[in-house]
Amino acid sequence: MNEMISTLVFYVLAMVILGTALGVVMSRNLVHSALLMTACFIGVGILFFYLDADFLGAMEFMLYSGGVAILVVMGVMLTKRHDGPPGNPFNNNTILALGGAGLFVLVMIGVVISTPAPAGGYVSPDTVNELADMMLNKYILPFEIAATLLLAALVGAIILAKGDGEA
Amino acid sequence: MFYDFALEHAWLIPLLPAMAFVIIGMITRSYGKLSAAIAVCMSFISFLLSSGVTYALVNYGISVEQPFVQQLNWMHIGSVSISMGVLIDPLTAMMLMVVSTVSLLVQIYSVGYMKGDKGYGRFFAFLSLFAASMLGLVLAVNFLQMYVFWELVGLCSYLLIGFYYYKVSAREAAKKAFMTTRVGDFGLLLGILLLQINFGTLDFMELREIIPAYISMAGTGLMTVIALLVFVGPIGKSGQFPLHVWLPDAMEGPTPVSALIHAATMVVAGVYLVGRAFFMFTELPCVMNVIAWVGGFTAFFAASIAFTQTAIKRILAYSTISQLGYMMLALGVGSLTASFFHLMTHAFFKALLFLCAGAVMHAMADEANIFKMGGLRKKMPITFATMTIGVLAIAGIPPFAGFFSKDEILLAAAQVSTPLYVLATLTAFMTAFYMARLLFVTFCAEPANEESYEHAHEPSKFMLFPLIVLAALAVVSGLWGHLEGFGEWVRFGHPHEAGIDMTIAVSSTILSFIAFGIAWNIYVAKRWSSDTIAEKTGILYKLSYNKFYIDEIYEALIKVFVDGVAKVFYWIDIYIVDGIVNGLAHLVGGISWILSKAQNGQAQHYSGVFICGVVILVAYSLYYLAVLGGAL
Amino acid sequence: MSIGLGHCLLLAAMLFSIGLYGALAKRNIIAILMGIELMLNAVNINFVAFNRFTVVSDLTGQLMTVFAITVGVAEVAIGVALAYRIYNDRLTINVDELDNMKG
Repeated sequence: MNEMISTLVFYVLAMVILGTALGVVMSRNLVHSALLMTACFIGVGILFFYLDADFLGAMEFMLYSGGVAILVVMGVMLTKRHDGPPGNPFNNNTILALGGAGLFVLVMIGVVISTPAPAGGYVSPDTVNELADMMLNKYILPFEIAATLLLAALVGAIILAKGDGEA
Repeated sequence: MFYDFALEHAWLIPLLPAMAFVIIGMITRSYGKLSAAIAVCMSFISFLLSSGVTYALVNYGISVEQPFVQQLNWMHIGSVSISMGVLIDPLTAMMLMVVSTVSLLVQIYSVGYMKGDKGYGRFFAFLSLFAASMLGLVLAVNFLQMYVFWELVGLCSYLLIGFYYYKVSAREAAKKAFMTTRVGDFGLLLGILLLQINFGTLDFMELREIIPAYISMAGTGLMTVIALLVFVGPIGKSGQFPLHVWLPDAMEGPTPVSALIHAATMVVAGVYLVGRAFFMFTELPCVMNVIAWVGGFTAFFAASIAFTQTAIKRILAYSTISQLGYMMLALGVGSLTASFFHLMTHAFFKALLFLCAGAVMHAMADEANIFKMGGLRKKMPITFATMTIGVLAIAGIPPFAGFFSKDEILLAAAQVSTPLYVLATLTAFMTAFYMARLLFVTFCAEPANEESYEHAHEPSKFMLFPLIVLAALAVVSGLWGHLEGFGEWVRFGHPHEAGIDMTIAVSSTILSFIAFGIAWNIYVAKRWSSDTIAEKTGILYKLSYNKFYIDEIYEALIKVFVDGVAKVFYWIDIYIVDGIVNGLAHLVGGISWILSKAQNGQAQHYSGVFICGVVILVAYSLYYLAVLGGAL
Repeated sequence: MSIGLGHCLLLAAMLFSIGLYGALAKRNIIAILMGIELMLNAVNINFVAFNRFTVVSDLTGQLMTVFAITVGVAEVAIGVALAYRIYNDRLTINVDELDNMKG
C-alpha cells in the first residue's frame, strides 16, 4: 500500500514536471512560460524531497523557484519590445531540434532499459550536517571556487547590464 | 717567353673579353668612355695572346695531326664525363687571329660610331661578350663546349640585333634571328646527343679516331643522319638556304654589330663547326654533296637577290650569305683549305665593307638607300678608297685578297663537279656586278640629295683607323696566304698545294671586269637605263626584289601549319584542359556552396547539429559495445 | 513495482530533452535560458537519484548538485544580463537575428 502510494506520487510528480516543462517550451506567451517554469522547479524540489534530499529540495525552492524565476521574469520585462504579451516564437530549427531531442530520449531509454538496476542505496539521516561537513572539509576547494565563480558572475552581470559608456 | 705563356694560357683569350663584359655590365656601364676603354683593352690583350698562340703554333710546329690540348673535367654524371678545355691547332689559331683582329677593330670603330648613344656602355658589354663567346667556340675541345658557346653567340646576336630595343623592327629582327637560328640549333643538339649516345664521347680528338673506324664497320646509315642533323646547325647559324632569312633582318642592329656578325663572330661559326667536324663529313660522300649543293645554291640565290636591293646594308647582307655559300661549297667539295682561306679573307674585306657602309650611313644621317646617296667620292675620299679596295677584294680582282681565296674555291669546285663550278663562276660574276653597283651608285653617281650631300663628311679618327687597317689586310691577306703556305697549316689530310689554274683565274677575272663595265655603264655613264632593264626582266626582277618571297612563303606556312596546330591546341587548352580545371573548380565551388548553407551563423543551428552528431556517435558506440559484448 | 533508479533517469532524460528542444528551437533568448535551466534540473535529478539508489556511503552526489545549482544560478544571472545588453544594443532578443558567424 505504502509502496503503491509512493509509486503513484512519483508518477504524479513526473507528470507535473514533464507537463509544466512542455508548457514552458510550447507556450506562446513568455510570461506563461516563466510561470510554468517556476511550477516545474517546484515539482523538481518536491522530487528531491521524495528522494530524501531535503536540503536540496529547500535549495531548489529558494534558488530556482525563487531567485531564478524572479530573474527570468525580470528579464522578460526588461526586454519587452512592444505592448501586449511578450511572444515566444519558434525558429527554423524545430525539426532539427526535435530530431536531436527525440534521438537523445531514444538512446537514453535504450541505455536505461539495457542496464541492470543497481541494488542498495544510501539515505543520510541528517543531510544538512553531512553536506556542511563535506563542503568545509573534503570539498573545501570546490566550495571556494564556487564562491569565486559567484563573485565573478555578480561583477560580470553588473558590468554587462550597466554597459560601457554609462556611469 | 711570351708565346709560351700565351699557349699555356690560351683560355685567357675568351676569358678577358668575358671579364670585360662582367665589369662593364656590373660596374662601369654608365661611364661610356671607361667602358669602351675596358672593352678595347681586353680585346687588345686577347689579340696579343692570340698572336702569341699563333706564333707558338708556328714555332713548335703544332699541326692539325698533333694539336695542343688542355682540358679539365667539368662535370661527371654517371658514366658521362664532360670536360672543358682548349684545343689549339692551325684551324683554331687562324680563327683566333681573325676573330680577335676583327673584333678589336670593330670595337675601336664603335668608339667613334656609337658616340652619343645612350646605350654606349651596354653596347661595349655586349660586343665583349660576343667576342668572348666566339673565341670560346673556336677553342672548344668537344661538341658540348662548342654548343654552349654556340648558344652564347646566338644570345649575343639577339642582344645586339635588338640593341635599339625601342624600335619595333629591331625587336622583331632580334626575335627572328634568335628563333631561326634556334631551328638550326635544335638539329645540332639532336646530332650532338646522338653522337654522345652512340660513341659515349663528344671529344673532337676521340671522335676523329672513332668515327672512320665505325663507318668502315657499320656503314654510313646512322652517321649520315647524325651528320645531316649536325649540319642543320650551320645552316641556321651561317645563314644557308633555307634558314638565311634572319641575316638580312639582322641589319637592324648597329652597323659595327653587322660587321662583327657578318665577318667574324657569328656566321662563320657554322663554317667553323663543319670544318672542325670535317673528319665526320668527309667520310660521308652524300652529306658532302648536300653541303656542296646547299652552299652553291645559297651563293647563287643570295647573289641574285642582292642584285636588286637598294638598302646598302642589305646588299652587303646578301653578299655575306652568298660568300658563306661559297665557303660551304668549298667544304662540300672537300677543300677545307679553300673554305677557311676564304673565311679569313672574307672576314677582313666584309668587315671593311660593313664599316665603310657604316661610315657612309653615319655621314648621310642614317640614310640606307644607296639611290639617295651618290657622289660621295669627293666628300669622303678615304672611305671611298677603302671601300673600293673592299669591293675589288670581294669581286676577286687580283691581287686583292678575294681573288686568291675565290680562285681556290673555284678550282676545288671545278675538280669535283662542273655544274657547281659553273654556278660558282656565275655567282662570282654577279657578285662583282652588285658590288660595283653599290660602289658606283654610292660614290660615283651624281648626288641624289643635295642637302645631305652637303653635310657628308669623313668619319672620325677612331672610325678611319680600322678602315685603313682592314683595307691593308684586304689587300695583303690573300697574297700573303697564297705565298706563305696557308694550305700547309690549315688543312685536312694532305697539305694543300697552292696553285693557280690560269684558265679559271683569267676567266673569273675577265668576268668580274665585264660585270664592272656593265655596272659602270648602267649606273654612272647611264648608257643603259636600269628601269628599262627592270621592266624587260619583269618577273625575274620582281622575284629578286622581293627576295623570292621567301619570308612571305614562311609566313604563309606558319599561318597554315603553326597557327592551325596552335588553334587545335588552343581549343584543347580552352575546352579540355581548362574545362577539367574549371570543372573541378566549379565542383569544389558547388560543394562549398552547399556546405556554406550550413554556415548560416545561427549558434542554435550549430549546436543542434552538434547535439545530433554527439547522440548519433553515442548511439553507435553503444551499439558497437553491445555487439562486442555479444548482447546483440 | 517500486520506483528505482531507472524511473528517475528516464524522467531526467525526458526533462533534459524537453529543455534541449526549447534551447534549440526557440527564438527568444529568455526562452532559451529557460530551456537550459530545465536541462540543468534534469542533470540535478540524475545526481540526486544516483546518490539515492546506488551503493555509496556519503552525499557526494547531493554535494555536486549544490555546486551545479550554484553554477546554474550564476549562469542565469549572466544570461539575463547578456539578454538585457543585447536588447539595449540591437532592440531585439531574437537569437536568429544574431548571425555574425554566417559564413
